[in-house]
Order: sequence, then C-alpha cells, then structure tokens
Amino acid sequence: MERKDIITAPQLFSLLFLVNIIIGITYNLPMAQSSSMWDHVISAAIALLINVVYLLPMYKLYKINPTMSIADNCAVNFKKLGTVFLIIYGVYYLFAYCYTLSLFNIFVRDVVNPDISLFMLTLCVILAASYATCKGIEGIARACTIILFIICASIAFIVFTLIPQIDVMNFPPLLFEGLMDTVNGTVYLASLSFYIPLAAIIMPFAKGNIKKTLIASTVSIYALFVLVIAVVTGALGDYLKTQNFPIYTATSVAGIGVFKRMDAIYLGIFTSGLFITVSLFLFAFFSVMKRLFGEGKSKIIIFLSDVLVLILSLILPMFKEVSYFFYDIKFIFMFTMATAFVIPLVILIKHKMQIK
Amino acid sequence: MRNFLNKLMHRCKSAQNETQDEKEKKQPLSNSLEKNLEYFKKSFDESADLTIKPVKILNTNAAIITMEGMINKETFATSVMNPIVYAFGEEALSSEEKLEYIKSNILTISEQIDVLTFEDAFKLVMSGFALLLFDECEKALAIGVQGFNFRSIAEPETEVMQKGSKEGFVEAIRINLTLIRRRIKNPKLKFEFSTVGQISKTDICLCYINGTVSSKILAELKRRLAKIDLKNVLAAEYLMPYLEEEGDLSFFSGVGYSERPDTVCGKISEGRIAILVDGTPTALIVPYLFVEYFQTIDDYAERPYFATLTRWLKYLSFLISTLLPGLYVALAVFNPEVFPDRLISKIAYAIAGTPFPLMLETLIIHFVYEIMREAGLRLPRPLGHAVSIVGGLVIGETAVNAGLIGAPTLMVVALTAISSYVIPNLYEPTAILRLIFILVGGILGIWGVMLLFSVLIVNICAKSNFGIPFVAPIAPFNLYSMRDVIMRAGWKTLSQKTENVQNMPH
Amino acid sequence: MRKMITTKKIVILLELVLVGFLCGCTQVAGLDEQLIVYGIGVDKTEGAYELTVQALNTQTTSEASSEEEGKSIVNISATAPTLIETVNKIENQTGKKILYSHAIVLIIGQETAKSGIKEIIKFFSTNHKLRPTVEVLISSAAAKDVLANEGDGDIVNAEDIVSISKIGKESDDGINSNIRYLLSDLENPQKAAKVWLLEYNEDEGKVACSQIALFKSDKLTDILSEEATKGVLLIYKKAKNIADSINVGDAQLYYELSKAKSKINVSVDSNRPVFNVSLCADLELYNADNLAANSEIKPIIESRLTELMQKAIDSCIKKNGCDIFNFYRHIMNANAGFFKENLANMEEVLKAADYEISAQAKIRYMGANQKISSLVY
Repeated sequence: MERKDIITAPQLFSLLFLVNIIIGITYNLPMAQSSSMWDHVISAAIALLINVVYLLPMYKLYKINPTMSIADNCAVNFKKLGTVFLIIYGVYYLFAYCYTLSLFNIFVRDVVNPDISLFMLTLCVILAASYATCKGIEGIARACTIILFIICASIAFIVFTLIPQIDVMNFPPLLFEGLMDTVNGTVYLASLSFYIPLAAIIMPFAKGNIKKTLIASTVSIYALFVLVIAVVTGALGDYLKTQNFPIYTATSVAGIGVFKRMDAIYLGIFTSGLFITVSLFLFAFFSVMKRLFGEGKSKIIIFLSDVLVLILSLILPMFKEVSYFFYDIKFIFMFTMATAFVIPLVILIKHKMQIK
Repeated sequence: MRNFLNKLMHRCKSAQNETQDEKEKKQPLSNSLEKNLEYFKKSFDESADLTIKPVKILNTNAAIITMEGMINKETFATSVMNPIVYAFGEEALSSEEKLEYIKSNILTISEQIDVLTFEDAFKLVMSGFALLLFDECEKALAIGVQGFNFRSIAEPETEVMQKGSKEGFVEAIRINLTLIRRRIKNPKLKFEFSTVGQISKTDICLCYINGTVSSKILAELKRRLAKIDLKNVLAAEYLMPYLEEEGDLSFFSGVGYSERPDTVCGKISEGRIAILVDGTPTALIVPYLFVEYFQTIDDYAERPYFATLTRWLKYLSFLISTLLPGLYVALAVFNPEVFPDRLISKIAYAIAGTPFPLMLETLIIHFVYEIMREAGLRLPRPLGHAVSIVGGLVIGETAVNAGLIGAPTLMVVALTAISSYVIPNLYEPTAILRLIFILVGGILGIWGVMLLFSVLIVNICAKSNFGIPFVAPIAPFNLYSMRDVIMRAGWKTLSQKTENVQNMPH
Repeated sequence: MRKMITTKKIVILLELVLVGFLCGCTQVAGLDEQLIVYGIGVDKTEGAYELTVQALNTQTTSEASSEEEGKSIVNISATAPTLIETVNKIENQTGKKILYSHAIVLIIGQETAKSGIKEIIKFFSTNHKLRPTVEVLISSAAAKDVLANEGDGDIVNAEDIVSISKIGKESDDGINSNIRYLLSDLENPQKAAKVWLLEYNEDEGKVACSQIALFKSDKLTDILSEEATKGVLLIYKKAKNIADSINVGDAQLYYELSKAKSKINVSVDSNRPVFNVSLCADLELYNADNLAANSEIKPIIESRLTELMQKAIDSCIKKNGCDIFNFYRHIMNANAGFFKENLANMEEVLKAADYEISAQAKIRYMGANQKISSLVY
C-alpha cells in the first residue's frame, strides 16, 4: 500500500494534544466520581503509565506496516472478525464524537445558558466539522497547528492571571480522602484517552518520528493536566466542589486589570478546539466506513451519522438512565481499552502467529 | 418552442462561423499581393485605422500595411520608408529574394519577423508592426516600428511605498519587461511570450529565472494557461480564476498581483513566476502565499525592529478588520460581561438611544461606508471633497446626534475601515468576511464567531496552489522561515539562505 | 449534468429555507432590553424578601448621559415571598431582563443575615452571569436604605460602596468577602464565613466599613469589634495599611502598618493543638518626635499587635467557635490522623487549643526624625 504522508509528526502531535485539551477542559468532579481534584495529580501519573502501555501494541502494528491504519489492519488480518472490529471502531469514533458534543451541550445549557438555540449551535458545529472532514486531514492538521497555538497562548494567559490567586492552604494533603478518589480519577482519565484510537487512524498519514511524537503527546497531555489541576485547586479551593466545570469557573474568576472575566476566552477555546476535535472523530469514522463500505456509500453514512449525532447529543442529557450509562466512566474505560489496547494487541498476536 | 429552435440554430451558425474564421486565419499568405491586400481589407472591413501604402521596391509591386496610431511615424519614415523606397539592387531577383535583400541589407530596424499566415500578420500589425508585402511572394516581413502612446512610468497609486522605487508598471508589456530586466541583470531571467483571449489575442509574458523556478510549477502554469477559454482578456485579473486550483472556493486568492517592478523582481528571485499582461499595469505572481499579503517592499527597506513592528501591525489590522465588528456585536448582545464596567454603560446608553438592533445597526453603517467608498472611487477628483464632507456628515456626527446610530458602533466601523486599508490587497476578502462575521456574531454570538473563524482557518489551511500550501511556512511549520514572517530579520540573516517558494514545507 | 444542476437547486433552496429558521435565533434580549445592575440589596421582613437593585438608567438621552462624569443610576425595589418572585416583579416593573454580569456588590441587611444567608447566596451564585468576585457586605441598616442613600445629593453608587469596603485593603490583603469565598466557606462545615460589615449612618448618610461580621453555619452570629477586626487582618497574611494608636507615657502615638506577614504553625501536643502565630510587621510611627524614651516604643507596639491578634482569636475561636483563619486546615496539613479523629468536634478542639502569639515590628519614625529614621529600627 502506498504511503500517504501528508502531515508531519509535529502536526500529529498538535492534533493529539488538542483533542486531549478539549476533552480535558470538560473535566468535572461528579463525572470522575471524586470529591478531591488534587488527588487526581496521582491519577494523572498512573493514567500516563496506562496510556504508555496502551500505545505499545498500536505502535508495534504501525512499525510493521507504516502505511496501514488500524482499519486497514483489521480488514487485512481478519475477515469476519475484522469487520466486527471495524464496526467497533466506527461505533467508538461515533461515541467519542457524540460524547464530546453532548458535554458541550450540557456545558452550554446548564452552565452558560445562552439565549441562542442549542439546536442551531449543535447543528452549526456538526456542519462545520463535516466541512473540515471534507477538506481532509491535511487541512485539519494545518488548522490545528494555528488553533493550538492560540489555545496554548490563551491557557498560558489564564494560568498567568490565576497564579496570584493561588493559596497554598487550598491544597489538601494528598490521599487525604483515601484511595478511591485516586482510583476513580485514574479510571476517568484513562477512559478519556480518545487520542490513542484516533492516533491509530491518523498515524499512517504522518511522516517523521512517530515514536517521539506519541511519547511527547502523552507526556505533554498529562503534564498540562497536572499544571491545570494545581492552578485550579490552588486558586479555587473549596469552591471547586460546588462547580460542575471547574476549569470554566477558574477562567471566570481570572482577571487582569479592568478585564474581569476571562470565560469568554474559555468559550472561544472550547468552540474552536471542539470543532477540530469533532472533525477528527468524524474523519476517523469516515476512514473506517470507507474501509467497510467504500467511498461512495460512506458519504451517505456520514450524513446519516451527523443526523444521529445531532439527535443523540441533544437528547442524551435529558434522559437520566441513558446518560448514566453513556457517561459511566467504567463503560468508557472498557470501550477505550478495547479500541486502544485489546484489538491492536489481538491483531499483533495474530500477525506474529502468521509469521511463525 | 420556435424561439428555442431559433436560438439553437443561431448558436450552431455562430459556432460554424467561428470555426470558419479560425480556419481562415490559419490560412497562409497568398502569392498575389492584390489578393493579400483584398483579404486584409475584407477582414478589417475597411476599418479607418488600417493604412495600406502601395510602393514599388526594386521595380516590384509591394505594399506596407500599418495601423494608425500604433507606429512611430518618424522611425517608420526614416528607417523603413526612406531606405526601402530608395533601395537599389538587383532587379532580376525573385520577390522572395528581394524581400530577403531588403531584410538583410536595407532595413536598419533590428526587430524583423517573417510572417507566413494571416493570423500572425494580423497580430503583428495590431501590435504596432509594419507589414511589408511583396507581389509574387508568399512571405511577408513584419518590421518593429511600435510607437503607440502609453502612460508615463509613475508610482502606482494603489501601492505607495515610503522608501524604494517610485516606478510602476505601465500598460505596454514591452516597457514592463525592461523595468524587470533593468533590475535583474541576469541572463537566466527569461521571458516567454504567449497569447490569451480568442478575440482580443492579448499578449502575456511569463517571467522567471531559470534554475530558481520549479520546472513542475512552470509546467503546471503553462498547462493552466493553455486551458484559458476567454474571448477577451482586458485585465490581468481575468486570468486569476484560471490560475487557481480547480474547485477552489477560498476567499483568499493564491495568485498575487503587483504594479511594482521591485516587488515582482523580489518574487521572481524566490522562484515565483510573474505573468505580465499587455494592456494592464498589473503583474500576476504565482504561487502566492498568505503571509505575502503582509509583506511589502518598505519592510525590507526599513530597520528590522521597525519593520517587525509594522508587520505585526498588519497582522493585527487584518484581525481587527475581519473580526472586530462581529466580535463587538457578539459580545455586546450575548456576552456583555466581558466589557469593563465603564465601557458597558457607554455601550448601553448608545444602544438604548438608537432605534435599530445592534447587528442591524452595524450592518447598516457598513453598507453606508461601502457606498461612500465606492462613490469616492468613481467620483472625479474635484468632487472628492464633497464626498468627504457628505460622508463625514452623513455617517458621522449628524447620525450620532440624531440618535440613528451609536457612537461606539461608529467607532468600531471607523477603526475597522482604517485597519482594512493597512493591507489593501486583502480588502476584498475582509470586506465580505466582516459582513459574514457580523451576521454570525449577531445570531450565534461568540460561539458563532469562533466557529466561523475556525472554519475560515481550515478553509485557508486546506488551500494549496501549484502544490505549495497556502499557509506555508506557518503550517506546515518551518522555524527558519519565521525570520520573515513573525519578524523581519536583518538583511545579514535573510541573505544567508534564500528560501525558494518550492522549498516551502509541504 | 442536468441532475447535478437540479440537485444544486434543491440544495440552495433548502439552505435558503433553513436560513429562515435562523430568524428565531435573533430574539435574544439586547442590551437595551436588559437592566444592567451594579448593586443588589436583599432584606427580609415579615417572611418576605425585599430585593433592591441599583441599575443603570438608560432612559435619559444617550448624549447627555455619556457626557456626564458619572453614570445615571436608579434604585428599583420589589417585595415577594421568594427571591425569584422579587426578580420577576422587578422585570415586570421595568420590562427588562436583569443582567447581573456587572454587579459588584451584594448587600444583605443585618437582620436578614441573622436568619441565614445561604439561600440568598446560592440563589445569586447559580446565575452564571454573576461574577464570582461580587463583594458581599452585611449592612447595619436595611440594604435598601444603604443603596438608596443620597450622600451629597447623588445616590451613593455600588462602586463607591465597594471601594469603601476595600479601602486600604488591596485585593490580596486581608479577607476576601466575595461570593466565591463566601460560598466555599458556607459549604464547608469546618469553616466559618466572614463578611465585612457596612456601617450606615442614617443621619449623615454616610457609610463606613471597619468591622467584620461572623457567621456560624449561614447565620450572622457576631460583629467583631474594630480591634478584633484589626487582629483578624493581622493574622491573615500580608495585612497592610492598618492604623492604630498607642500610649507611651502621656503621649499618644499613631502608627500605620506598611507591610505585615504572618506565619501560622501548629503542632499537636498531648492531643491538643498548639498554634504558633507570629507576625512580622513594618510600620510607620507618627508623633514620636519629642519622645526621649525611644527604646520603650518597640515593645509597646509589639505588645499591642499581639493584643490585637489575641482579641481576634478570642472573639472568633474562643467565644464564637468560628474558625475563619483556616486553623483546621493547618491541623489537617500538619497531622492528618489527628484531624480525622477529631473531625466531628473540631470546634471544641480549636477552642481548647493553645495560641502562642508573637509579633516583631520594624519601626520607621515619621516626622522631624525622618532623616535619621532609617538608622532607628
């Protein structure tokens, strides 16, 4: 298979990093089933190790044939089971798409509560993401470089404005509430490693040192997470426990000079980053569908999946039973583990057995 | 039905006529002088500017055909008519030999072209050549005696620079070639002529430096130029859509243009190709990158620290001219908490005192401003002052005092307008984009503005022209190239390594 | 080709129809349809809430108002059994939706505060537009009277009230009395909430802010004296610009702190916490020009500072059992095991704890001796 090579390794890094930033800023304690955010510093360290383990089989597969994505590997190494794997991946990317968008809807509806129609906003995000997907991974990657730069500058600015508000007394002793918070935090963070199955699709498009890119992105993600936790915990203290989206709260508290509320910056970051994130998930879904059904049919499937995601992301937050299951960290953890680790491992084992 | 059939018949006939004309034009010159002249008269339909002077040269019937106003009469008289009329030589020679004799021994003009077809004959006569025809000769001689009037070389009004040359291109393509040649005295600088426009037969010239230009880009450019099916090419900008990638719907053009020879020379030196079009003082430049919209010759003539400051001013002006009105509307309507306390009171007073919603008010002012701008462009100079006064009165103090529009909105629009003139080449896309941003900001707030901004970034980033990414060297990122993007490094740094456009990361 | 053209026409028509739906999105309330509120006052009388908002008055002409130095403001009140109903009443009265994004102060009447403020704080904090940095003050009189106060003919606006409450106390100095800290204090059973008291002089129509109001759970329990308030500020790190006086013999000297840093350490000794509160202060001393006995001044000042801090601890911890100094946190950080064991009766633990308070002062003599003052420390 011919090498696709249309994005560089730094662009791959920026894509993966951005995806995690956007997933990370929707971080909230109720969903993590924790009461202490500070203990998640340890969770981040453990989640980092888990992610490194997740990356191993996937990277090995990539090394065997750098031109093949995980979808190609599924189809080539297995027949019927490969189709099942492909469907799992397709559902996973759609799930990630829906999850991210529904969190955005929850945030907009419950926290910001604007006067605009949520339906219109979600529709616009989906249309914009579809447009970006049509432009291809190249366009998305280049745009991501620029948007990531803006996002990082904004995060640095917000951190800078929050640092004077840090009070050392706001940091409780680590593991004060026991181990459960740490365990739940680890499961939560590891479950949100959507970037690993995403990398499995995008890696063949990249040229450069992929190994360094994956390590750098994993370490950077958790380093940034630890920094943000430290700043937010130090600045907000007990106020955190009353907030569903603590990072948003931290930005609304930040201020410099006469400009008192930086939450408009948060909204800007969230929207532009969300757009790239859902475009990537849609692109990954499209790649899997293309592998399954061919290019012609996959375009119709994309349209139908957009409609499905629009409906799901709007109605999910309304039905408690379904949303309880949908946002359950254990379910997401299992699903992520399956797509990031288990399936690539199975394919790798099959490949090794075939060689023998 | 009858009308439809009539139209169909008419279309078929025109197509037939066109094909017939094409066949006739490729027709070679006749042996008979009379037939040739007859054909000329018929083709030009006795046009008043066609001048046919029958002469007898070396005892052979001949004729000289010129176009009134296209030739330099003095040169024509002294260097062509005088020598050939008083030429003496072997009268026993054949007409063709006589023509060769005139060409080699009598005429002192250096530019002489043999003509074999009517198509070439028409083109050269209408380009200011004098055409010498002999009886019983199937060949004609085109003598370069061009002397049509053209505008004097002056600084282009649309690209005024503080420092640097005050010369600009003119409408005559040959003069423009000399302006470039004078600046790049290198034999590798090559000019390649071609023709576009089925009816206008406009001369175009590709200018590039051999060894610097990419052969792939050159070949692709020629392929695209060959596909141009325009009938008339009256301005260089007509060619722009044909030089872009197929299906490209971006707001920004990947084809640059300039009226300054120094700018064009700078671009050619970096491996780009300039296209000069006869009749237009604008040179097209391909491939063109997004960052080049923010680069001017003045940047390279100033000190690096000041040039860097002006570069950043341009980036900021671009963002202001595109985003400011939309952001203002979005924040004032959806997120007023961002505004400081004292500012919100001013804005609230202004909005309370005006009859229109903020989005509509902003759109109205923008449209009024665009009308004023267009009127200012088209009006004769003596009336320009009147426009300024009316403009100042209409959308200035009177409108604010009458409570029709708010002062903050007017300030925003004024700042946007001024900012848009910092990068005049980007005026068109920013004018459209800012209207879209206002609409989106007024309907979807800050989310809409950021979403549209992100979509715009993707739109620009996904664009390539001639295989070069439009946003190079920002994405894909090239740190070394940032010396002329984020800042304007000193010449000692810039001269260390020249980045040709085809070497941009992609 | 024809199919493509037809498809394009259908798509364009669909898009135009969809754009029509966008018209529904433009029914957002513009700034002219919103009541920009700067100050909020809440009183509760006879079981009903009285909400007073100090809002921007945009009814005057735009030009006249913008030329004036100050904003034109108006007070609007409404009474109803619940806060949400009061808000609705105000919105019905004015025909505008209340915009809280620029509110800078929330004043609660003292009598109202005695019956609990949690409901009030939670009500306003759930509005996402309200800034978490809104200053919360308890007023000695009704909040409505304070906001409607006309000093020098003009209504005293919220900005002036906030600046009075913050005068001499920069944002990172002293206690934070804003809604964010208040909410976290109210949510935490170990902590006690504290808020500045706005003293309102009805006769003169003036406001002042020099005392702290203490809360137990969410009810106002005590108002600290001025001395205890100074002591609280001293214990809270980096307390600046506190002015006080001392008597040295017959002379009365005045001093003003320019820099103060306190440090709290705790050790648990025989199941009893021992708090060590030490203060390092730089201060400027006035009116000491003619005093001969300079060596006595420093110990007197240090003793005075110690006395103030002791008063603060006595009033807050010993008397009212209100831990506003985060002493519980110090215990938690120093000895987590002890803290967990005594979590349920932390109040008693703190009451029974020992407090060793010390102060060190660096004095700068102001006045005629200023030239050599840098040598006299």
